[in-house]
Amino acid sequence: MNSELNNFFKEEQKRVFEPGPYFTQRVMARLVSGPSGVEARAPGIWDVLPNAMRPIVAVALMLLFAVLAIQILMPVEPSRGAIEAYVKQDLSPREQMLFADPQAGAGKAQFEELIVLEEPAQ
Amino acid sequence: MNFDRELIVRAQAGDREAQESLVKAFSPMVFRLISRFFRSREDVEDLAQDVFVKMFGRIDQVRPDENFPGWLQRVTVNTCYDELRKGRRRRLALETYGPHEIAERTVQPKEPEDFGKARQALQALDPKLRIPLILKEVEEMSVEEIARTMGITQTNVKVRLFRARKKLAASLGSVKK
Repeated sequence: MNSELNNFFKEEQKRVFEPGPYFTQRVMARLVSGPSGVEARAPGIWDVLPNAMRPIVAVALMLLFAVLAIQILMPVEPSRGAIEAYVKQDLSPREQMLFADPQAGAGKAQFEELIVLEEPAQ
Repeated sequence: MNFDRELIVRAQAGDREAQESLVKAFSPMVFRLISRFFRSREDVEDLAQDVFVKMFGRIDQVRPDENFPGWLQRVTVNTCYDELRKGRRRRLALETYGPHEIAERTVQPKEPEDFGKARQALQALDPKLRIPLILKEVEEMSVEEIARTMGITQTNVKVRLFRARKKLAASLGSVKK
């Protein structure tokens, strides 16, 4: 360490505050009046959490709000999710009947179209 | 030391006289330690009060055979660390949102120019590095004492001291250029 810093640290050793004559009374008065301002302050949510947990909780909350926002803002049909809705959007009614929605009652016309497709050309 | 032990036992039992005697006995040490990190008398006195309020709030945790001054030093250094961190956050916010000359305000005008630069460089250090450096260089504590006071390992103290000195030298070097 260079001499400038050494001199600075030596100078710092001399700089000391002494307690004033009423310091003890002030401390005792604070003790009598109950917990200090610092201690009495109602703990907020960040005071309750240990320091290391704060970023994790913040990220988790952000993700939670993002998911909630997507759920609320994106119109999704009740019977199918976002991915299904995206995949299904390009299907023709025939393809939809075959691959995507086998439970739904198929139209007679659609059945006939499919049967015609399978019949060998004469 | 026996006197201290008896005082602590009485203070734990709620004896006001013993509590007063403890404040009187240990306030010079607490003031001296806080003076190493804060330059205004008001700050030092406020923090010293906080330290004693914390001390009495946790005095039940002290075993009479424990090194009481060492425990109190730890409480004091932790209180200073919390305050320095808060101050650093405030200062960063000010530096970000308001172009005030914060560093100049914290330096007393009477001291030599070199000391002003050294102080600025020291204040720019993260409290995690500043505290062990000040305890070593100004309080002349050993690495073992610093480790005990800060509640970290001796290796960690050495690493922090090394980093603090390196950063200090770098910032003083850049000031000279």
